[in-house]
Amino acid sequence: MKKLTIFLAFLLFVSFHALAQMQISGTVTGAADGLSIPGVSVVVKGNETIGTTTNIDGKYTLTVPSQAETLILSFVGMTTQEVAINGRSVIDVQMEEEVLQMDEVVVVAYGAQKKASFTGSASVMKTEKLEKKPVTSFEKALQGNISGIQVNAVSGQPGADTEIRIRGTGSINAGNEPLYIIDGVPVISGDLAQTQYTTNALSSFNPDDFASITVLKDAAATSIYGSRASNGVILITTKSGEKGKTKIDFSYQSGISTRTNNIFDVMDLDEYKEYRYESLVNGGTPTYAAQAEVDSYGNINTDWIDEVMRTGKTNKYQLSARGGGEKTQFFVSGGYFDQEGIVIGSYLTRYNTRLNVDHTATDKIKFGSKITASYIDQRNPLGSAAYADPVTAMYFIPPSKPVYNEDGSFNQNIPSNLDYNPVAITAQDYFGNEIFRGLGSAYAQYEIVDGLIFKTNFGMDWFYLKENDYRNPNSPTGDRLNGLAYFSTRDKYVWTWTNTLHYQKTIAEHHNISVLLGQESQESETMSSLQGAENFPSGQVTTLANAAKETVTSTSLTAYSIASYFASMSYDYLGKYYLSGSFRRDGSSRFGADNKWANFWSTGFAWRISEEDFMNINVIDNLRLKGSYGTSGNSDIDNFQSRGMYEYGEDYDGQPGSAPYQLENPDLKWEKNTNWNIGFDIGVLNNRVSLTVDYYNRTTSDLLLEVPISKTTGFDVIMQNIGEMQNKGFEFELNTVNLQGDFKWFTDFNISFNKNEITKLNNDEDIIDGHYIRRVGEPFHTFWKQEWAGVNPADGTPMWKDSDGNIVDNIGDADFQALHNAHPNFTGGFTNIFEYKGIELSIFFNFSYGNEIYNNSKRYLLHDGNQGVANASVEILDRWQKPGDIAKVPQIIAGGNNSSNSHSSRYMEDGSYLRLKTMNLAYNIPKKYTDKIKVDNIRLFAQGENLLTWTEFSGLDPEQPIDGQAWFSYPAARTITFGIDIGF
Amino acid sequence: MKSIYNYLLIIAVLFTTACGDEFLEQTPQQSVDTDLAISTLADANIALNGCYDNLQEETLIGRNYYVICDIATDNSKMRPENSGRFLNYYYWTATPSSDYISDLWLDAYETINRVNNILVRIDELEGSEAEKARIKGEAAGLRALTHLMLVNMFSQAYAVSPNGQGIPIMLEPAPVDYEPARNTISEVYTQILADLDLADNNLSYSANNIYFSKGAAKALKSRIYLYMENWANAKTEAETLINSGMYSLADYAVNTDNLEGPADYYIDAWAQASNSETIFNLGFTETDYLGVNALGSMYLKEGYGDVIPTADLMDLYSDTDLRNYWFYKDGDYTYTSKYPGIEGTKIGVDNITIARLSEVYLNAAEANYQLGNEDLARAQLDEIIGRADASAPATTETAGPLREKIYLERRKELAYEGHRFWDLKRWDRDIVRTDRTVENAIALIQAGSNDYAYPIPQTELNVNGNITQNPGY
Repeated sequence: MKKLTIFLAFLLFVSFHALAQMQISGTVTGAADGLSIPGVSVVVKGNETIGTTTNIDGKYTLTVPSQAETLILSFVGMTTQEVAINGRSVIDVQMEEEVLQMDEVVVVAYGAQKKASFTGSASVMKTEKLEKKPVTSFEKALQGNISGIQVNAVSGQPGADTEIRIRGTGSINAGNEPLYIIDGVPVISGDLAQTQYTTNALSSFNPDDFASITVLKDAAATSIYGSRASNGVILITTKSGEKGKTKIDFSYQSGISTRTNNIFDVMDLDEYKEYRYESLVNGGTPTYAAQAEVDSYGNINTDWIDEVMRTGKTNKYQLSARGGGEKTQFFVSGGYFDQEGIVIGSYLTRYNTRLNVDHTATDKIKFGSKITASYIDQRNPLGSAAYADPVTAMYFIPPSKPVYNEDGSFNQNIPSNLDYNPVAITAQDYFGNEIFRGLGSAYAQYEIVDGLIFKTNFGMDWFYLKENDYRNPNSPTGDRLNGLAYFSTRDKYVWTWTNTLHYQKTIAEHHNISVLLGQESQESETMSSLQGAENFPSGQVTTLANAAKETVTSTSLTAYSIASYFASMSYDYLGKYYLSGSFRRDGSSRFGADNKWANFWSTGFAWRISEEDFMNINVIDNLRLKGSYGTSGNSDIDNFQSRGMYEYGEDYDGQPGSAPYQLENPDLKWEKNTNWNIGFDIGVLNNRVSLTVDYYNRTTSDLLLEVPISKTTGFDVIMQNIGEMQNKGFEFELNTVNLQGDFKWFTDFNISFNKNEITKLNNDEDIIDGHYIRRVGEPFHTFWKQEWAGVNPADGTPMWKDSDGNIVDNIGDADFQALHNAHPNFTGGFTNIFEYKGIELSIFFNFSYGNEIYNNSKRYLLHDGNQGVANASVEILDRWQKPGDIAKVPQIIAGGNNSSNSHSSRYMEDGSYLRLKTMNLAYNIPKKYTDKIKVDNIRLFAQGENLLTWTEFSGLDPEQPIDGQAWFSYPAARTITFGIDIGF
Repeated sequence: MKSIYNYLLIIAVLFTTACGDEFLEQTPQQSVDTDLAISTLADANIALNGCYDNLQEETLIGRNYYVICDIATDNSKMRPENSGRFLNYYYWTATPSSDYISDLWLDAYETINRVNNILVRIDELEGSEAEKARIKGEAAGLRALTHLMLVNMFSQAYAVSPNGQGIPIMLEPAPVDYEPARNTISEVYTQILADLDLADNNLSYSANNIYFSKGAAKALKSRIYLYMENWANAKTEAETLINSGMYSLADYAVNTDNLEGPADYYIDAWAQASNSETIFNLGFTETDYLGVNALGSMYLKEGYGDVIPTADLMDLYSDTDLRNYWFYKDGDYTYTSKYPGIEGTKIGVDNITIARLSEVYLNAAEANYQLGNEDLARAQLDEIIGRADASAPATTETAGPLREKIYLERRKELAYEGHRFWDLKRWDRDIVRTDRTVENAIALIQAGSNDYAYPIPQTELNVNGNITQNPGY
């Protein structure tokens, strides 16, 4: 009986249970590749506490109440799906990859926002485009991938700084670089080198840790960053943990770097001998003496460019894990990266770690931390176009000079005006730096009442740079002083404390309100030191303690602080009409007593026309009009520029001395940026074609300019806020899904047109600034040059033009003119991605059109005999030799041909280029094979960077600094890598 | 609900902490606000070092002011192969836009501003009155010297046109919109004398001759009175110094160590930090070393060797004159070794003479000649001649020939020490060049011509509505 009772009870239970609950199972696969997806969240709609996640095979089993009607499946990067249960016990689901939609969330200032409600202009860089790039710092990868941004590497050296202009150049004497914010913390960026040519603070970060990069461009997006926002803001969010099974990813990438496909070259021995003979004879040397000189060159034919350039190797390892439970999620990663440059004596090695943790303590309290630490070891060529710089020396040393003597020692017999054997210098001297970097932040947030969240976030960025400049007593650069060395450090920190109160509420169903109030304080201090010594006992000991004589010892310290209050508000009605506004009040230690505080604000709107009843057109999925107007500031000036100051170091007789170095300037204030933006987004054909168009007008007023004053004051200029400059232009971003199905084809295209113009100067007087003229009505980087008129066919002499267009024979009679400018008419990028059964091919081009480059190096590379024994570009072969010759190069004469290689428009070149920037071929090994070895996914890939370049520019690399000044820079490399990603 | 208010209160506190104006006060560590920079006598002394430091600039006494003074005249010429420096001054093609002219103008006024910042504050500082007096005296002396450099460069000679256009006198720090007019030459001289009197009264004689001293004040006063043709005062100041017992004429023995090349034969006293006749030197250490831009580098073959003596000058020294060792022939050219580098340092590290006893003797001789004390004049002149050339006969000339002999000796003794051009100017003499770098280089600048005053820099004219350009530019 007992047994029966139990049995009945069991039956009852089961039947009751069967009535109340049911079990559902199934497999979740990707619609695109049919592969199972682990980690997908499956919950019951209306009762989200009942849920599970798919296992390693994408399978799930879930017991649901019988009244449950619908399951919700969600996964990052996939469109969330609701599936009706309809009494089924097996439900297999195919998930679609998320297509760019208005529901997409973009990271914006102090939070994230649905794209539909965002009234500003911002572009998001897809991180998959970033992750596999063999670049030393992430911002280089923005080039061509985002509209409205100009990205130029100042050098191809691993670890070199990058110049970035968002919507053009906005300042003359204050900074032009954007503000970088990682996980809410403004970080140290820029070039902090003291003795090295360039070291980039942003190379410390591992791009593989990034989840997204958002570039904020207009007032609605940036004004809330106030006095630091005028050059745009780049927001980076790093990866965080996710609920579910711990995912482990390993990736390895290895490859080589070589010269790009340019054909630039200098003369070989035969050409060089001919050139020398001819230039000597033309210079008045008797033919027998010229012949004797040329005969003395012998038969050695060294290709110095080949000696200095090499094939570099790149390796990258990354191991990461992300996962977590209900309460705590984490992301942890470690990475190693090394890259040898294509010039001898250059490399960068980076080690980095990251830990991101989020913990939900109660349903109201959440806290977390994001910490990264890294170390960089970097070696650099001397740089800066000194003759001791290999990238410079390789052009000039005559091919007749060997690298090594017959006994194997370095040949130090280099002509005296060229001085140095770059191979010897690289082997014997050392120029390099190390960077230690720690960036950490911690936050806590509390939901005070429903919809009202208080959050406090404290972030600390610490940057420590050590630089070494050592010249061996036996090396050609060190022997005169019997060895010399400099050791310098730069120790900089920034802390930022942000407190925000965020309130979000929907009122009467249709009115959505979001309000943010905030306060922020920031302080930064930089301590620098420099020590130097000379006279070393031997080349074996390199530390300064070994040197007989100290030459310099100095330390310096500087600091700034910023205090801010801010607020932003957004409102929408019915998901159709959006309004937003922001306000910030910033105080900065940098500014004059009369202008310590300033206010910045913005306002924006958006209208989703496609949501209107009258827009019920099938083909248009989304149409949104948006606009914004607002202000921001530029506080990127010296820390104490407004104060009357005395400085020290004006010593006499070994005793300390001081002197005034800056007049008090209490009126000094922020440069002000006024921005308006109008644009629209449109998506048609099921959003297979989406287009974003923006037109902007960015005016910087109160530009800081040096205004001359009477020198009887003891000073020649003072900074005043008087100039004005404008940038306006169009930006287009077009994304299309050209083919769907087994064979997929996507295209991303962006193009930006920016026009820069100076609109006001001090009394509108021209400012001549070296190679440039700053003139009202002209773009900022307008060259100021005498105009070249070619070679006189009659006698091979150089000719120039005066301002009336008359040919003149002497450069002194040629007038300086505003000729050409370095601003491109447009820049952009074009990406095509093809996918077929696990094979992916992506091809990315970037381009720049209409920018002129002043090829200053060519004054030396095409010197017409002026540089004596120095070798020259092969272009010199097209030279005038007899009356009637139509030639590009004047008659070559030892000592020079009537100043033919003086600065003039002769060396202006079209800097336009089209570059096959990246090509990536990847293969995802099918699930059925990877399952057998208990691996989630395996991806094999091959990638090429800078594969092909089309340009008229005659140097090694058309990518030159933004000011358009080509000056013996380290060229970009072509890098080809192979790699594997494995996910467990 | 109450708890919410508590939270909001906590938040409000968080929001306001660390956000006051004090947070925005950063204290510079590299530099000090001007008002704080000179708040003690020790600060004032440090600021005074900054004044000397500025005079060391290559734009001022560190090089240009001295080089121009000879290259513009008959003492120097450019070596045909040169670095391009000073060509405008040799060929007389300087314009209001020429660099060295605007550099000198700016840096001289920068020095004066450094001085003025001390002088306007010193009376309010706590501390010993004696120390204050010393600092004031040195500062005033340097201000006099700097005003003198400006008026020499940019104005005609006092002796030629005392009421002509001088330069703006600056006696206190000026606001940014200050646009001073030019004072007359005599006003400038009056101010220079006032500053030198202050220095003379406040300072004592000092063996540490790289600082401004009573001796420096008197030496400069004797020079100024000479320029003003106030012969009696010139004589008084000069003879007070000669009779002070503080200084004696240096021995012109030739260096005997390490004689390897022609450049090693120089007058030993000139390779020392100072010698027995030094009254005021601008002191240089290896830290101040201007490298290739140092004064010595402009003259020595081992440096640029751009500026070389003319045969016009060299021919003036008799074969037995020790002063031939101020020059050396190496290869095709003769170079000047008056700045051979202080022994044990680098080439280019020299203490540059501002005043020494030989000049004071010559000042006295010239004044005595003008006062009719010819015997005394001849005796003072022979001190200088006899020291350099033991076999030279005693001076017997009288009247005009005596005057010419004094002028000639001044040229020979003080070449390359910042005198020649200003002397020719005050004597109202032509510049006559026989030995020139190239045939078509200017051979004659006529006395009293506009060329004797360099142009006011264009950059000053652009911003200063009250200043006027010199005629001829």
